[in-house]
Amino acid sequence: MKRIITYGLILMMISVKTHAQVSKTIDSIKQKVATGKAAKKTKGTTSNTDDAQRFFSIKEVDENGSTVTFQPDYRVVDPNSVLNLTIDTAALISKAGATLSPDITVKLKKLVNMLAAEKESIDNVKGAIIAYQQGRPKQIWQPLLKKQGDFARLILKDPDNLSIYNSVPKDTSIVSQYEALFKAASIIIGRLKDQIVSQAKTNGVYVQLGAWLETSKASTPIHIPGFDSYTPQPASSVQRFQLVLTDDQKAQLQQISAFADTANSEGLGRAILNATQNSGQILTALENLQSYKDLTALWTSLNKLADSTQVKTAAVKTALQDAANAINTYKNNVDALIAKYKSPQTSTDGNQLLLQVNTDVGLLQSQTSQLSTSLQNDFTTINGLVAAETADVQTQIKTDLPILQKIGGEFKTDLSSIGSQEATFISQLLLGKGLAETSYDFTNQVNQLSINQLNNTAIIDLTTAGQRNQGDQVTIKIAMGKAGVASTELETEHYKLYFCGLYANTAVGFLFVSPTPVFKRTGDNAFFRYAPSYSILLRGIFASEKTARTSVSYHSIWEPGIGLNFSALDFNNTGSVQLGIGGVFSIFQDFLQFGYGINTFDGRGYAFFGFKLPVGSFTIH
Amino acid sequence: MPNPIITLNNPATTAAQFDALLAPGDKTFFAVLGNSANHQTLATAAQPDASTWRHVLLMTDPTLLYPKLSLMSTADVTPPVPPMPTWVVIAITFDGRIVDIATDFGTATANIIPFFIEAETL
Repeated sequence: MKRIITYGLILMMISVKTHAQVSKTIDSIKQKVATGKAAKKTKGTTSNTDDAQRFFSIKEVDENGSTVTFQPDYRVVDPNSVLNLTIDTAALISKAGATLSPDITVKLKKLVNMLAAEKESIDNVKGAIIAYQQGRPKQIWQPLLKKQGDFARLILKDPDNLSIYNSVPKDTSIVSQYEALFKAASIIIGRLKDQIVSQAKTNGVYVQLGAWLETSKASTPIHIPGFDSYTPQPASSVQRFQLVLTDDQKAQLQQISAFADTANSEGLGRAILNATQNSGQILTALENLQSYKDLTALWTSLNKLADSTQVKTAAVKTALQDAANAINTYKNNVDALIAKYKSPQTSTDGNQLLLQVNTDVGLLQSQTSQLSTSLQNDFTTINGLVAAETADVQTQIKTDLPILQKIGGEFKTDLSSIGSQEATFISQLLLGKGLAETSYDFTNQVNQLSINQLNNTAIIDLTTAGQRNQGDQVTIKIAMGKAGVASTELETEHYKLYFCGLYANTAVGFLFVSPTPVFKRTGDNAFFRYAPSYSILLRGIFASEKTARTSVSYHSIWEPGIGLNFSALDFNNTGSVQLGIGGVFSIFQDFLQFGYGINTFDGRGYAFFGFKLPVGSFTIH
Repeated sequence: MPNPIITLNNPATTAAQFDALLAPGDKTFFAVLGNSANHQTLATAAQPDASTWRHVLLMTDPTLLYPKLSLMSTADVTPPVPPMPTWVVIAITFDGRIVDIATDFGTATANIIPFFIEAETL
């Protein structure tokens, strides 16, 4: 018991200490993957880095009214918050100017940079005056004046700018005369921006702002008042303190309970074998797919048509026969696979069974892809020649052709989803929750606003974004275009939805319970007993504000929690259930839990560790 | 307290005095070349801005200086060449370069402060 607790504490210390380094590496990998994926889908800048130009900044107001000013490296947003965007109109004007008036844009940039250096510049001039008055050598104070050379040249050597400078009030003090340089720069910037905005309006330049909520099921646009005509979703909150098991968790707990019963009565090995045999059931679901049923019907129809004497064109007949044969071969392969996994497996090697399932799914995916290609080719051939057939045959063929084209695609999608379930654990652990594919294209419901029409503030209320959960993602994109030309992305930011403060949720688990101290063990007693359990965990207490906002892996991989564990024990192997309550520490999305509890029936203490199991068909998520 | 106007009005010594003023390299000059009432007015108008290292230089007979002026280094400006115009106002840097020239009263009066700034920064 002491050893287990010691190992647990060591593991906790190591995990806290190393998670920063490991998290950084994992986050870096995930960001590269996300950036690569986004770069494939969109042109322009994909941000969440320090280097890209920014066109908007964000302040988040959470459900408690607290405001968080987002830094460039923030990647996490609270799912129940309101995001207040401030759009950098100056940056948009510069961007528009770069295309319309490159000369003006260059001047504008120099003047903006000049204004940014105002304080330092005036301090240098003051420093030069003081040094001169103190009698310091000229090598000390002259360079301070020379540093203002570019600014002087920019304002005083341009006739228009000089005129503006001469109109700015100033007195005989040297400092006020230099301050007037910057006041003139500010006036000139305003005039240049007005020129660009005017040109932009004439040339039909527009800006669009949009946001999407991406879940594992779908990607939906989020309404931004003033920027689109989408309807906001009904207000909803993500439950912050979930203290009751969800329906999914209740189903998982039942399966874990059955697993534990088998483990306790027949041994852990038998329990694992039973569980892995169920993984083959994935494939038996094939015969229930609508696509599979449509394929069967199509084969019957094509066969009949190919054998018919009504079809005159030899090439059409051949193509029909080819399609029917391809479907028949494929169907035979599928039927054989279904039959294989419907029969109980007699192998005692669970690993081999899992590997076989994985291989068979891969092979089936490959065969489906080949069938899809073959059917597409047949469709093209038949479509090109069908005009030569009789009206009846044409009607029959045309009825079958759409199904022919559709089935290949649908079946591939169905099968892909089955195969992807196997890979879900690894991909979700490394990359976070799998999200629906999104192309981030603006629809015609997103307004095209000219720069002078643009509000420089926007509000994205996540509570009206739609049904969402932790692990989902919000994407915000701003783009610029010209009349008749599609917009080009300027900046896209992705934020994962996770609670950044305290929250609580439940977790189920399969426990290895050690009720007997090591020195009291006898040879006949099992080292561990097995028990189903659930925990109520408090999370968000181990992360700093910065970690919570910047480290996605902290939320999606580490997710540490501490709380209460409730387990159904049977220490004496009598079949009567005893309630155990204990303290628990959980990590790795509850894959690893450990703690210490008390059997409330007989008062015995016990140490435990536990983890999630892929039991039956429920998948790790 | 602004510096007093430096007047060079002795033809025999103007060139030497001019060289002596530039030698230390710790002064800039708003130099007015000419001897009319307007030249004097301009020098007087510039004097309040001539503090610290800034100086107003009035050369009432600049004829002897014109060859020297033609040989001085310049920056950001076309050097003066003979025949010199009636009006010549120049901004001279710490190291004796000419960085701006005005050839009429109006322009020179409007650009007193810009000339001083150019002389000390360019």
